[in-house]
Amino acid sequence: MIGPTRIEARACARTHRDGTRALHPTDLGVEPGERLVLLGPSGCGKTTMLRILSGLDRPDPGGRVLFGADDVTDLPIERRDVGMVFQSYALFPNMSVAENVAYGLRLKGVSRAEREARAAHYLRLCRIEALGARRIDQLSGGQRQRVALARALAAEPRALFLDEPLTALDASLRETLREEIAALLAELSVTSVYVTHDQAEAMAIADRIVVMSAGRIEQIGTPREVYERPENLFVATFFGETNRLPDGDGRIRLVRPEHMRLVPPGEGLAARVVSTTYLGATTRVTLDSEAGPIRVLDHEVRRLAPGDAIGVLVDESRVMTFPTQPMPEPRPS
Amino acid sequence: MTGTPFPDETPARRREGYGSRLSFAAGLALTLAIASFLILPAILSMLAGVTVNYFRGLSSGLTLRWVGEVLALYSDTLVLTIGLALATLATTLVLGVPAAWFLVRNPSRIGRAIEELLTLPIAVPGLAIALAMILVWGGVGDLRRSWVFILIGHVLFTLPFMVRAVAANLQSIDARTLEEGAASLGAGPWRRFVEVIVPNARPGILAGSLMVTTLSVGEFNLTWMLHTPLTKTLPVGLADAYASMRLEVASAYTLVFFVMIIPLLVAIQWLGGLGAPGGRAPR
Repeated sequence: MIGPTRIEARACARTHRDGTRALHPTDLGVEPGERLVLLGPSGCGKTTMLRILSGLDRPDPGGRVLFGADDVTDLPIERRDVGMVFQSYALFPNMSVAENVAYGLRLKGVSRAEREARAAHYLRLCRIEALGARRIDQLSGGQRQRVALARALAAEPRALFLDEPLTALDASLRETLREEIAALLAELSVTSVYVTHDQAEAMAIADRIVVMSAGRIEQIGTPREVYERPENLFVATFFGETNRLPDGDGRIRLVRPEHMRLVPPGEGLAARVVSTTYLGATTRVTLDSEAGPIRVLDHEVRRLAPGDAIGVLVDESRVMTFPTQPMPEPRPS
Repeated sequence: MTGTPFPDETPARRREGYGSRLSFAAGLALTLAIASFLILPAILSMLAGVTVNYFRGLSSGLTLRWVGEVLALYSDTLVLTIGLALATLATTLVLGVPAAWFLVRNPSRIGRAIEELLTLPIAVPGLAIALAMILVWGGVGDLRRSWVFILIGHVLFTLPFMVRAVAANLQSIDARTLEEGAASLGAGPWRRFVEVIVPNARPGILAGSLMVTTLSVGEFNLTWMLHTPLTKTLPVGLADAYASMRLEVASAYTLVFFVMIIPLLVAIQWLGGLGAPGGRAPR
C-alpha cells in the first residue's frame, strides 16, 4: 500500500444555484493516516465538505483541494484514486459480492488472479469471506455495508470517504460496526474522512472531530477536547448534554450532568425531583431547581420519588462559561 | 394454509379466510368474463380464417387455403413489419436509453420540459404527425418512397415509451448513487454507463422494448398516411384485405398476425432475461 496521503481543503466554499451557501469558505487539513470525523446537524455542510474533498462536487471558484502535493481540484472523483462508502451502499446489483469488491481493481487493469486474491483478502478483513459468491439482494444491511467497505478499500486508495455509512442500520449493529470500522481504519492507516450526525459514532471513530454548523466549522479537536473544552455555546450544547446555571459575571454558565451531585435538602441548590430514569449503572434524575430544570446523573443507590426535596451540588471546577451575547459573525457571508 | 398454534385466533382467521376466498372467486369470475369478452372476437375471427365458408359456419369444414392466399398476397408486408419493428426497437434503444439516463442524471426544468415534449407525439393524433412529416420531409430526396420514412414516424411515436420505462427504472434503483459509486472506484463516464447503469436498468429496458415492438407492429394511423403501395405494413394490409377481399382472407390475416407477434414478444422477453443476475430465481 502506498503511504498515507495528507488531504487539504483551501478556502473551499459551495453555493447553491439559488444563492444559498451550503459551505462558507473553509480551510481543513486531514493528516496522513488520520480518521477525521465531520459532525453536525443536518444542513451544516458536512456532506458538502466530504463531496468536495472526494471530488464528487467542485468547490466554488477560488477553492482548492490538495492530495499531498498534488492539486486535484480539477480532477473528477474517478481520477483521484479514492474510496467511498455511501449511506445507501451503492453496490452494483448486476455483480456478485466478489465482483463488486474487485471492480476497482478491474478498472485499474489488475490481472484476474491478483484481483481475486486481493478481493478475497479484503472480504476477509471485513469478515465476509463466506459471501463472495452471493448476489447483493441476498445480503442484510450490515453485510451490504461490509461489502461496500471492502470494495472501497480493495483498490487501496489514497484516501477513504465515508458518508453516514451506518445511518441506515439498526442501533446494535451500528455499535458493533463502528468499532470494527475504527479498528480497521487504524490498522490500515488510510487517511479517512467520515461524516455522521451521531455524536457517539463520532467519538468511537475519530482521531479528531470537526464540529460544523450552518456551513462553518465550529471547532476541531480530539473527542476529549471537544467534549471537555467546547469553544463556544453551539459546540457545548450540540456535543453532549448540558445544564444551564444562573448566569454570572455576564456569562452563560453550563455544566454537564455528570459534574453535579445530589446532596441532602438544604445543601447546594434547592430542587425537587420531577422524574427518574433507571439506567443500570446510573440513574438519570430530572429536577426542578431554583435555577430551572436540571438533569443529573446519579451513581448512588437510593429511591427518589417525584416531589421529593433534594439539594444539588455543582462541581464549580467543571462549569463552562460563554459570553451571553451571541458571538459576532466571524466573517461576512 | 397450516393450522395456527393459538386456538383463540382460529375463528377470526377462518372468517377472514372464508371472506377472502369468496371475494377471490368473484374476482376470478369477473376477470374471466372480461377476458373472454375481449378474446372471444379474436378467437372467432381467427377461426373464420380457417373455415371453408364463413357464412355456412364450421360445418363447411376447415382449410388452410386462406392462410396460403394471405402468404402469397401479403408476405412482403410481413417482412416489412418485422423489419420495421426491429429497426424501430434498435433506434429507440440507441436513442432512448442514453436519453433516459440523461434526464435522470440532470433533473432540471429543461429536463422536465424535454420529457413533456417527448410525450407530444402520443397526444397528437398519428394522422396529424404523419401529415406534418409529409409536409416537411416529403420532398427530401427519395425519403417519401423509402420504408425509412415510416421508421421515422414509428420512432417518433414509440420513443417516449422507451424513455419513460427506462427513466422510471433508473429512478427506482437510485442510479445516480450507483454512478457515484462506480466513479469513486475509478470508472469514467462511458464505463459507468455501460457496466453499471445499463445492466441494472435491464427490467426497464425490457419493458420499454416490449412496448415499442408491439406498438410498432400494430401501428395503423400514422403508417396508413405514410405508406406507399410498396411500403405497406401488416395493419395497413389488413385494412386493405378487409376492404377488398373475402372475409375469410382478412380473418386468416389476423391469424397470421397473432402467429407472428407472439413468438416475437416471447423472444424479446427471453433475450432480456439472458444473463440477468440470478436468472429466473425469485426475488
